Amino acid sequence: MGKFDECQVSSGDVRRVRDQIMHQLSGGFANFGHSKQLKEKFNELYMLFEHTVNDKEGHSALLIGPRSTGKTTIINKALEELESKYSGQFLTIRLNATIHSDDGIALREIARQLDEEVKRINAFQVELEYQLDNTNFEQRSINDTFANILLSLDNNMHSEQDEASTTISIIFVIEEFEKFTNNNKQTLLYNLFDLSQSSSTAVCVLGVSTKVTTRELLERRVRSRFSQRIITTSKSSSLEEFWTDAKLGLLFDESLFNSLDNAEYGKLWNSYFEFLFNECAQVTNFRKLVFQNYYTVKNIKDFYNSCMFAVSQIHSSAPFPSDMVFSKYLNSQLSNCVQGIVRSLSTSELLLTIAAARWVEKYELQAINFNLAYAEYKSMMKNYNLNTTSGSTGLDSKMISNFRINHKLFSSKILRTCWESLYKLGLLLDSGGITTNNEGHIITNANLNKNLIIEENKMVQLDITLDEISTFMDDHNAFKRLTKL
Amino acid sequence: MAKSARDLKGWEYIIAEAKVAENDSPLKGVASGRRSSRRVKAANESLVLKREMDDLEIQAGDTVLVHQKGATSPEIAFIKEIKFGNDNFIDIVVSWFIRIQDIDFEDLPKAEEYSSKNDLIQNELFITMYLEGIFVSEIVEKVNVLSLDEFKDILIDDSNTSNTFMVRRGCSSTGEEFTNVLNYRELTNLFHKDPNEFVEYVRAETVRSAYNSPKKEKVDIKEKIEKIESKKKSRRRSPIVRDSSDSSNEEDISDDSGDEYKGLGEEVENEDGEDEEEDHDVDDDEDDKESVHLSDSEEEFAGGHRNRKRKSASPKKSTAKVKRAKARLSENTSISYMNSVLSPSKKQRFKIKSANISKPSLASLSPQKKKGKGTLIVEEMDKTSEAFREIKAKLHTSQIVTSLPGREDEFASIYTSLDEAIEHGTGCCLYISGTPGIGKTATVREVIAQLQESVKNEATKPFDYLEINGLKLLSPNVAYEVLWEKISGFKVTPANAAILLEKYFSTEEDRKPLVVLMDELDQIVTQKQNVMYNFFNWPSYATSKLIVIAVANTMDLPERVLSNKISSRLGLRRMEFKGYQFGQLGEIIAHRLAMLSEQSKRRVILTKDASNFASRKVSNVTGDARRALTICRRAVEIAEQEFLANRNTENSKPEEESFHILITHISKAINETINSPISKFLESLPFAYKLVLMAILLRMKRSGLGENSLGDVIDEMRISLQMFTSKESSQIIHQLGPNASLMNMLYSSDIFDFDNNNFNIRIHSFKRIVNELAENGIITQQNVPGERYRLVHLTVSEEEIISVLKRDKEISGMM
Repeated sequence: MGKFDECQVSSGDVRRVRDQIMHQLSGGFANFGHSKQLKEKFNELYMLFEHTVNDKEGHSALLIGPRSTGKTTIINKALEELESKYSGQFLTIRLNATIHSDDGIALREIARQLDEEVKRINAFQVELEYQLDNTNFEQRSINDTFANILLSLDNNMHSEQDEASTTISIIFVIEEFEKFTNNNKQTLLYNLFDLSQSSSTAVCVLGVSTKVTTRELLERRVRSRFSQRIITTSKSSSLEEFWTDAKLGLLFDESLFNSLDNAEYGKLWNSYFEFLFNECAQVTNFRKLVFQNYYTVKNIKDFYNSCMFAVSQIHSSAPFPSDMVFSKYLNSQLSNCVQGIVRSLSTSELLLTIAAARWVEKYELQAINFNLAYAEYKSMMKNYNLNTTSGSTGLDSKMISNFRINHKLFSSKILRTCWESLYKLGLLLDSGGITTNNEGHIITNANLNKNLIIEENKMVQLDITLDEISTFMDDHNAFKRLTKL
Repeated sequence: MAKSARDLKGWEYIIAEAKVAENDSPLKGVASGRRSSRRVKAANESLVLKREMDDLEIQAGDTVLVHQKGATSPEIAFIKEIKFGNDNFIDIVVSWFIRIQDIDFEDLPKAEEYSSKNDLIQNELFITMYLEGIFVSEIVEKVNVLSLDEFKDILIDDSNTSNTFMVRRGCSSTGEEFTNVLNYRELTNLFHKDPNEFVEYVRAETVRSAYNSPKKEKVDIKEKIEKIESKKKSRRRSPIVRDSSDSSNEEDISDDSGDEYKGLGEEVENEDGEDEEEDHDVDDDEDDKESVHLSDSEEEFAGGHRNRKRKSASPKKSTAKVKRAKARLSENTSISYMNSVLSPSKKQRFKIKSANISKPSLASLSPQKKKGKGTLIVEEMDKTSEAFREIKAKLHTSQIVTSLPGREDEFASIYTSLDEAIEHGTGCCLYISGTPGIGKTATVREVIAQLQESVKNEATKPFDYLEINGLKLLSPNVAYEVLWEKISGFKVTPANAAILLEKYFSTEEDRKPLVVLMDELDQIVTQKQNVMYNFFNWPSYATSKLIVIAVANTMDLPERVLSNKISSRLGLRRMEFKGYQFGQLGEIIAHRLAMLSEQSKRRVILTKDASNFASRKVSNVTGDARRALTICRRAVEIAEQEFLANRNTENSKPEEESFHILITHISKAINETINSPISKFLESLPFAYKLVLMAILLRMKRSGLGENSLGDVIDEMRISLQMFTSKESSQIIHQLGPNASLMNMLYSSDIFDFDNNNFNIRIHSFKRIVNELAENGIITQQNVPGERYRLVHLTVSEEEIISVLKRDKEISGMM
């Protein structure tokens, strides 16, 4: 650690580095151009777009990959590059199925974006002879809008075929693509793919999805019109790869060294994380953090989030984030919802939960009601009180029996309240609310857990097992032995 | 070619009677002016085009450098004819020359002048009889083409090497057969005497093998010229006499085709004029009645244009005219008619939707032509890349094909059915079924195009045609609206349109038969099947003259959706399209490749084996032509990349070779389409995800059920991980310290302190992992609150997951 401690850094430098790195960690940085795998995908995608724009071919493809593997990043980058090279020769229409949740809305959005583009270009050419009338793609009636779009895209250049080279290409980017397949008819997809196959306008349809099985969700007719081409992105396949990708966001760009008063600080900063990860004598929290992320979610954005706090803490007397601080973020995460709930229970609530779990364990039935749980509670507590005293004999026993610490057996009225609060907390769930229809699709009862009052004999399910309770209970907790049958 | 006068921008055309009466002052018309100049057209006119920019004049018999759109380098062409066209405003017909560089050395005739590769005269050309139309905008400049003798007399240096060429032989359009030495000068003389003779002569010379007729005795060019000369003289006498009469007579004397063209041209113009007048009328009317708008006839016109591309201008105009007339049929009467049909109660709701007068078009978005830049880019590409581009274009499904191989029987059968129905004015219903991508729609369109062609020749009665695609309508009822709009020109709400249509089809009236193509019929389903029922029912009315061609995927659709009683009455004629067979797919591909230009054909070759392989693969599965073409196109793309990579590394001389697309490329393309990304995706999953999947698999094995509760999976995960300690898997994790284990890593409540033995009940971010797996389509989970009781099951095949997990060292031990 020696060389890092010795470094003298001005507060201005620290601020500059911190601002830059925080900016990178919070997403203002495309982790691109260094990762070989992404580069390949990018080239593939760019070729696809370029063929559309330059050669006026219709294309369609799916871009599939888990979240935060750079799908949108490479699209944006490709479009950016395309814009610089073929400016004005194409236009991009972006749809997102979570926003444009059905075909009608999506069509209106397409029309709106086309209108916008027309307006933009009109404003541009206002001095030129171009003066377009005030017609819009978007019409009051959705059917007219649809017809308009189809007509202009499909038919666009038939009248001027010899000028085909000047037609504009259209790139559709559809995010959350799989959601459009929920629609039975898949009208929008049918038409878009049909355009890419048969229109004289060069149309490229790029679906972006996280679902690997998206292609199988397409309807037959739609599938026939789709090119079957899939471009996939994936998470890094080894720890080394993950680390090389992940550290990029933490590094200070070398070209910015000049802006620092002490360029040495920049250099040291960049070697610091490598030091924390690999070269440090003892196992650092930082290293554990990387490992933990790699083994659980393998998500770089997640990793950045966990580093953010540590980076934000640097100041001129401690210009490098301390290793200890890296553990803060993860430790303050809620480990599990059910676990958290059980920890927060009052003693009588906890005992009731344990009793219910015992009953479930004993009889191997899934559903339980208050009456059963209370009966188990009574017998359990009786046993408990007996056991705490039975071990002692003689004088001691007399002494202690005089001061016998009996756990109070609460009345069923009191525990009813506890039972209700367990239900409200979501530890108890309505049972039998689940049915499936003929096709195996699950129909859920929308009113689940909405009841405010729970009857004594209403059957409910407990969302935790006895075993699990015992797992996370502290050893010195007096009730721990209750969790063993 | 120039589609319209507008395309001729920058060019002036001069009608010169060069040959007949050279002393007559040429009639001059400027392209941007009115077309009326076309009317004054003389019999033996010759058109001279003049480029305003540099006063370049071209006329028949000239040789020019032509830079075709999409071609890499300019080609040299001999202008055979410039005339007012049939489909286009001006047709320029050329025959191409082939440069000696474009011909394989091996193919050259075994004559001494070609004996050495290095001694070839680089400016030598071969004349072919490959006739083609070109665009005026493609003409670059005039070039000199000389005969061998003339060529020897001049000095070739840098100043003229690019525009001086020599011709001494002709060749076939493939560049494989060559004629004997001929004198180009005499050839051109022959041309000036009679262009057709010239064509015949060269053709006979170059494609001799195609002429099966016994060899005629060879005619020398000179003799031929003399023969024509004498013929001409005898013929010319009479015209000359008439030429001296006044110019109005000239129209009458125009012989053969020229007359027709002119006539048509005139007609078109008259109609144009009328149309314009009508437009004014309509505009006036609209001022009075703002609520009523005429449907946009431009749109109709455009639609028509798309569907009947091959039709020439005149019939189209006339249909448009009919429509106009119909629409003009006093709006008052049609509205009152509509009112009378619609019941009073509905009257309140009855309103005519306003139709937008002018549709927006993407044309306005199109970039301005950047000529200089555009050509620059093109020139950078070499010929092979060019060929790749072209082959891809031809294989694209949007490419317009001239025939549909493998669908001849279906074509004939549909054609006769329709022809008969149109002829007798009866209603008729044709039901076509078949899987996607096997040419159903394409065949019907082709039939319609042919019928329309024959309407032009008056072999068939005129009819109207409308195409409705079930998937291009947002709701089935819109079909009524579209149909009524076609019939009346008015847009009304679907409900009203249905009533009007019912009335319309059931009343006796003199009308043209209407052919309606209902594509993707099965998507026009409503609760009570009204729409489909009506479209099947109307043709059965004696008065309807409605012909419905229904296209759908399933064969038994009418039975499924209509009650037996109805479907039996309808008298559907059914036709089932079968998937393309292997041979047919091969033909389709071959047919498209045959449309490639000669140059590209030589550059890039899709081998027979490769196309066979692709067709076999596809015909085994679906017989989907779209699929077959997409695969081929993708294979070409793959090959192109390979080619580019090779060229960049080796820098050999690819100009000389042709690139072959082989089975390997095709199989690569096929693999891309069938390989699912699932296994690759699974491999890249983090350990925790795999653990969840592994637990689900184990659970399935133990319970024997497909669906298991997540609670069981949770327990399974924990137990497996506790029981399992493999050295290999923990090797990496031990880097974190002696106490570190996967168990610690995933369950410990504090991962930064492994000595602490407090464990969580679930692994870190368990919920998120399960949700993400569901989102990725690997599992599905029941959507209920709580964790333990929700059911999960795998949606991808068990084997696939097992094989991936087995390969993973960290987890294979648990399996």
